[in-house]
Amino acid sequence: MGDMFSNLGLGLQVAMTLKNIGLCFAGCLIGTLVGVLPGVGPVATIAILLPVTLTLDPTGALIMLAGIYYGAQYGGSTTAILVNIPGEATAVVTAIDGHEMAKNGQAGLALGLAAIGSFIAGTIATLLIAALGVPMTKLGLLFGPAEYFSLMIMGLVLAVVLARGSLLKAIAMIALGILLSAIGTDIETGRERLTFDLEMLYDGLEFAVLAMGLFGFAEILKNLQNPEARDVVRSKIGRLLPRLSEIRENLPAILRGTGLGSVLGILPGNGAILAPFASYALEKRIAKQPAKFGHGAPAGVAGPESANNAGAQTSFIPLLTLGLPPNAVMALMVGAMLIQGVIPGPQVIDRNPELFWGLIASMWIGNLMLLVINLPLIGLWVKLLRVPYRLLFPAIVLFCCIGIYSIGNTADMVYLTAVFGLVGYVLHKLDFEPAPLALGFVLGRLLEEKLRQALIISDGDPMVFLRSPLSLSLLLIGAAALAISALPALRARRDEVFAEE
Amino acid sequence: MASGSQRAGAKLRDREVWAGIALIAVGAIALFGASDLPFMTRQGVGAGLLPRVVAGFIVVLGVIQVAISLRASGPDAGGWAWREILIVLGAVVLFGLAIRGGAVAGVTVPPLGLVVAGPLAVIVAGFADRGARPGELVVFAAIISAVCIGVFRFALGIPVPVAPWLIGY
Repeated sequence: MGDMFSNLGLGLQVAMTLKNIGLCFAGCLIGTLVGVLPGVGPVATIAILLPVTLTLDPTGALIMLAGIYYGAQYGGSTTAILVNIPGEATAVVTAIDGHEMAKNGQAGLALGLAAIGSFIAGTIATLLIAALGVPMTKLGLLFGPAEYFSLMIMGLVLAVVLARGSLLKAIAMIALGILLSAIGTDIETGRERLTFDLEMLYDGLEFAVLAMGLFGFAEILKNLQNPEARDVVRSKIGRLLPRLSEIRENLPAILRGTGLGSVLGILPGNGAILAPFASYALEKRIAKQPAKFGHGAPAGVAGPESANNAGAQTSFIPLLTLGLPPNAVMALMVGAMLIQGVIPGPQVIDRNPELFWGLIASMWIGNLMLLVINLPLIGLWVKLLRVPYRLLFPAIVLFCCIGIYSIGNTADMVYLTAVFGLVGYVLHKLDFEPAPLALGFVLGRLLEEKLRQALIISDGDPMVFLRSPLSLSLLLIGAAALAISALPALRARRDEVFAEE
Repeated sequence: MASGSQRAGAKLRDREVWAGIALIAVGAIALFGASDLPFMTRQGVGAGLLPRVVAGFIVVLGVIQVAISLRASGPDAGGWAWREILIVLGAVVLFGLAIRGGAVAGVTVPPLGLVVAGPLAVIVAGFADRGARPGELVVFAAIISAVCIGVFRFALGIPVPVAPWLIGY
């Protein structure tokens, strides 16, 4: 326990330098600025802004990226409340009651509760990360290649189970992601794979290219085809700071959301995405007046927003301690870390303690900053939201182009992103979710590397994955999750959770 | 969801059938592309094992998807926004060509930098919206490009070419 606080102290020392506070602030601000744009979720925001951090030192870069991430999340909630356009799946829930509150002239209260709930959730989740960081890292060191392989398989299975829609399609998307990750020169053997003799594919696909195409450009094409009736709230924003009594009323919802979000966020395989849905369902079930939900119930905003933020935060745990990114956002963080020469995994905490603890401390500072930035700047965001989409989307196209070009200083990446924009649109038309694809892509290379290592150690005997008790139990958990989710009763229940929107 | 129409023609527009066909096609292309890669070598897992196993798996999933969806009737895929796709992605490609120069289809483009590539991308992309207003778009393109040059090149120091033909970087 004492260790945890001395570690956090070290982190605060790193995070509290003027430069790092400045970077955290800048990250939150521009993250919110881009995240507020309708249809631009956190993944696209981070992909656009990734090049901005390339010129910084590793610690500064990650602190800024974390700031961008929280900013983008909060920006997305702002858009969901004010315009009823959720930038990503998790903001869908916020839009339900948040937008209703906004229409009743309580936009300020909704935004204030979202910010305060997120801050409380962020504070608790930060402490949780600090407490779990060291033991999880020790666990990570017990993992050999076979165990890592099985852990990733389990994570991918959980991602399938948690995705909505058809199981078969989600599995297919993961497989496609793994396949795409194999493109390029094979590191072990030096053979070119699946490049079809195209020079631009020799180095493999950059994750930012894939993400920007699938989540950025495809989203624009989708919006152009089905213009959404944007109703930016015209009524008054109203008082931003909730009264003490209102905070007290919503505190239980905030704490329940935080608990749900923290637990789901730790799961490998993007459990965080479930958090807001689960929290909304829970609040509605235990509410004294469930009929108020859907018509502007404050607990329907405070709970899911807290759950969302707690989950966003604890999803750093598998990344920082095991080196496994549980979702697309964390995958981009891995990309940023690799560019900076930091290989994520259990060794980071020992080799770069100032980076590890500095990042954790800045998460908390970032949450505090969001509270400070967003409440006074809300007028600015409202103005930004009134810019018509016919001007917004060409600007987003330009941001994406510049962002992608800057990652590699080559136009090839820009062309590839256009291709993935088309792919993303086709996936949408055929009702495939891009998120499992992104996860499969990210874990694909690691999966193959661990497979190879495990088979070299075992002299080519594939039974190695079943002989280690740890590896076997991870595989069994995955198999059980898949079997259970295929049961008709549970499928109906799962559809119900996602149907809350 | 299920429209009453069970004619064979409806199957041609069925989203779920096409989803299966798309999986089969992608898996088959990858199987072909990876056909010369070795499965196993003396050093262990070869370059072809993972791509070929995964591609084969995708083909199998596609076949199952087609088989399932042929028995039930799924929703229509709906209209495709070809015009929007062409214009928006065309604008992206134009940006790529103009920013550092390049050659495509026999036409050589000199490195024009962000000064040209920026407004070009914004203006072209803008026309994907049927309600585009040319005058407004041109002015907006100039402003947003100037802002981007200021922010990305000068404030953040990202080495994106601005106007190599005019100021040398």
